Amino acid sequence: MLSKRIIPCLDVRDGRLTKGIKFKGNVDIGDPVEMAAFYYDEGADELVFYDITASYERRAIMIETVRKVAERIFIPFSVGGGIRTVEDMRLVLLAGAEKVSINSSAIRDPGLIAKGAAAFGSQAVVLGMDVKRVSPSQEIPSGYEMVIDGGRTSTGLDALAWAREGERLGAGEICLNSIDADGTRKGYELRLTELIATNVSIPVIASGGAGAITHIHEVFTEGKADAALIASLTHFGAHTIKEIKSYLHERGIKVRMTW
Amino acid sequence: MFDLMRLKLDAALVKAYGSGKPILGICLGTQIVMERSQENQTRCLGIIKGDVIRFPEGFSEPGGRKLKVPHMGWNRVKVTREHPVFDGVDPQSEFYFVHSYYPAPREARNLLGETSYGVPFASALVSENLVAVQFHPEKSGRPGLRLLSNFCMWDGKDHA
Repeated sequence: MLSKRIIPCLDVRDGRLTKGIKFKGNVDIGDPVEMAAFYYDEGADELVFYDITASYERRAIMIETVRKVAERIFIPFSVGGGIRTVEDMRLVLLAGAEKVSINSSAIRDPGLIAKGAAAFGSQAVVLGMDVKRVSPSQEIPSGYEMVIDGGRTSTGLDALAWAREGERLGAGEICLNSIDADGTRKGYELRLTELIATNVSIPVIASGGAGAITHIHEVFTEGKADAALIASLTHFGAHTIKEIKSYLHERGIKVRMTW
Repeated sequence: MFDLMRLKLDAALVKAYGSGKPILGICLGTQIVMERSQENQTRCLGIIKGDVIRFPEGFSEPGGRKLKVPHMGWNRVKVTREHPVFDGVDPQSEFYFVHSYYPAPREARNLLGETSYGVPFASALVSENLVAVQFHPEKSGRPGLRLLSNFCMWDGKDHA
């Protein structure tokens, strides 16, 4: 049986780590390569890097970071942020990432999912979804709408319909972020996670809102997630990966305990 | 397989196998040593007898939860017999998998490790100087690095 994955998320700007609260007021918390090596030793199952620089001239810095990370850690990691073309994907994968994550660019050009999957395989293409709660309507029957540009722009797309479309186009995994829960530390958006996780047949990584170990337990049991993204829970030393995994293990959730 | 044949690497691999050189197959590199694959109905190298088959659609684990394909993430490998390549690898270790197809060797002597995902399947195979694993040791942390290091030290002889 597969283990549930615990995935620290590292936000990177100009080659340095940040941690965004509601996508605003980011503070620098250090070197991404060192942090990656630390999490590798700590027993993280995978890492996610999100490049919030995204300005074209700075892309080279991120590629260099990816290359250095790949030399240091031997677990899978994905890279997202500012990936707009198959060529962008190729550079990140060649530098040593396992997967690329596309978000706004997939909504602007859904063909990018299919092109990426055809070129590198579905397992290399993660569909990042930023989702906001809205009143259910004819246009948005699920009551969850896709937003882009870090939550600033509404799209009129229903999140459930988009998740299914992303799977159909060839995405191998979904990283599902709730804009409402993100940065609140009050727990994942369980209803949204369960809705998406039970309606697609690709793995779903829950993201946004983890502020306590119990939240991770909830998102695996009630939310039916396959993996949980964490950030502030461990970044500042409040908890360790081992603590989180021991808690889950004691409650009968299969996690990787030996590393 | 098409690219292997175009580059004439298929013949090179079979020749290397015949010469006794230690060979390690990883992921797709495990599937190509079989006879045939259901993926695009491909004829493979035929070093190990058996086919490569797909996980069934819509299958469930014993508890009833629906399983997702590809099989992606960390899972255990039950090593079914001693082999130098798995020397010192903790039996509780987990390895990173990403695949929708898996090898089904016809002969028990080729089985080296087994993993369970709805169905039990062969996740490690052996045939003389060839060891082939369906998972990614290079992405499986220390147990994976141990396996790779063991392989580098291996003389290619199967003492079992």
